[in-house]
Amino acid sequence: MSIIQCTNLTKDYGNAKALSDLSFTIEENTITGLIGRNGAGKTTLLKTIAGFIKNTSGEISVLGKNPFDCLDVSANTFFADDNMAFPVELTLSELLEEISNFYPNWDVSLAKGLFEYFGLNPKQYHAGLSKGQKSTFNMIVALSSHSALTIFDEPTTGMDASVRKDFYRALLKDYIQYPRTIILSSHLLSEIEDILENILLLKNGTKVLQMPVENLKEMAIGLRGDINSINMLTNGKEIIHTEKINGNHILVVVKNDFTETALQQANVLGVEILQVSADDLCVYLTAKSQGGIDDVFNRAKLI
Amino acid sequence: MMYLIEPNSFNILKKQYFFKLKTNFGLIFNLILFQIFAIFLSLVVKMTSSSFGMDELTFYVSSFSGNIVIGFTLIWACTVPAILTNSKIRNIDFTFVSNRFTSNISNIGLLITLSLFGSVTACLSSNLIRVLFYFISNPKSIVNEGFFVSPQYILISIISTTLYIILVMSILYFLGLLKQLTKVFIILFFAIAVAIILGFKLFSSTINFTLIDLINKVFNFYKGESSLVVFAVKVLLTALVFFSGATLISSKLEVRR
Repeated sequence: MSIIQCTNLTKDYGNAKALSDLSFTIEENTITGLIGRNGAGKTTLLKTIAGFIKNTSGEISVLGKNPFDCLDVSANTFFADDNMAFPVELTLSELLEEISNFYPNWDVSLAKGLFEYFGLNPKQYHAGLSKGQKSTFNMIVALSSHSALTIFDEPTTGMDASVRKDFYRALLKDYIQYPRTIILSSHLLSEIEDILENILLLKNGTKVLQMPVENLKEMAIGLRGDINSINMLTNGKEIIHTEKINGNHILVVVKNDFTETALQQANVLGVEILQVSADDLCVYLTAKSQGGIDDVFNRAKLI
Repeated sequence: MMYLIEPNSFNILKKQYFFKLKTNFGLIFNLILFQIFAIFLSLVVKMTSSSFGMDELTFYVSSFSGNIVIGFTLIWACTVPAILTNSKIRNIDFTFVSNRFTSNISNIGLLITLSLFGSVTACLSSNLIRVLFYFISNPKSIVNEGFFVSPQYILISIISTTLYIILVMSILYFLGLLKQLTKVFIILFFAIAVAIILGFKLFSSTINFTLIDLINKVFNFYKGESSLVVFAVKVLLTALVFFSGATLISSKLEVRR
């Protein structure tokens, strides 16, 4: 059963399109990573799924309903980001108690355990927490709610490296124990790729790809070597990224549909075959323009 | 699969209402500060003071009343909807389970509860003022008339004060959400107000009806009502119009940004 279904989903802010013609489905009990650069539309999409934002056109269905302003969706969804508003009058422990009233699936022992593990002070107020501590507290609440759909928008903002690691581990362990649908957004895929099953890559509000992380890792290879040999090898192939190394040497990232013999031929021509990490591939796929940051400096030198 | 929760609006409303009662304790604290200040003011400032004398005898008559406290409670009532309609406070609802309907209704429930609380404390404080006055002045010089208040009188004043507070709060709740919708409406609102004032200034002589007359008419519609029941119906209907308007406006807003 698919939990989220979008067809031609579009959201305009005035003249700017935050999402345009986005179509995808997310199956239940999966962890999906929503990846994209700043301004790709990740937050807009997540807020639309959570029912906070109304789409301009297209269809969206979450748990079989249009999520906008829908109580059924709200009761089964937890949306965690660093703009979550909490009442200033309650201490953290009082907050946990109050929040638990809203969620029948609330896991008291998990909340208590994580709260103690991360060393939060129960008598403190949410407004007095540091950025990383706020993210930690929001994460504890989101995990403990055991909502059928849990959405994390950039959950690790401000967390230090060890807390991040612990967070991902806690997320995975709790997910295995209580399978549910989780969406994580991040611009750092390398950090979360180990816990993800699927990936949804966005660029300028459109879908670049949606596939299992395993497939993404094998989707492309890098070829490094002489420009002529590489041109010969990649003739008619889908080139994702080209980078000048020096002189006649270039690095080309290309879709991996090479036959065994073609790869052997590459070896004979002295072309190195490189693995492309999922993280790098996403960066190449969502590049705003040809070339990289180096070209900006190279061009500047020429002028 | 996590089992899906089928929320019941009434149940969520109840949870939200009690959550708001707990988390808006600061509002009650503000009210108490306003009222303590007003009680102090009532004792210091003599509402109406007059003296008259004949030959060697001169009387000084000072009367005290709890009206200052009710006035300050109404000022406090103006601040409450402004706080509740602030986007930061509205967002708290949507951190948890909510939709705009439950959010608005639980806000209205909170406003009515606070009206009742403000009214009861304001009306009873007039008794406190009497007791304090009894101790700080010479009891023998207190004129008995009006010193003891009957429970019926207190009950009536509690009900009518509650209704006044609800009226004020409903109007301001409406305006607070209007402000959230777009700043253009605030400008429009003032433009209409200025147009009405200017219109009356220009044409009052020809239509023989001034702005003051209009304001008096509006005030008299409520204040001039002698039957408590009719007054209650008038106020509650007005509040219903403003609260419905507010709910309508909030449906034009994004749920949460």
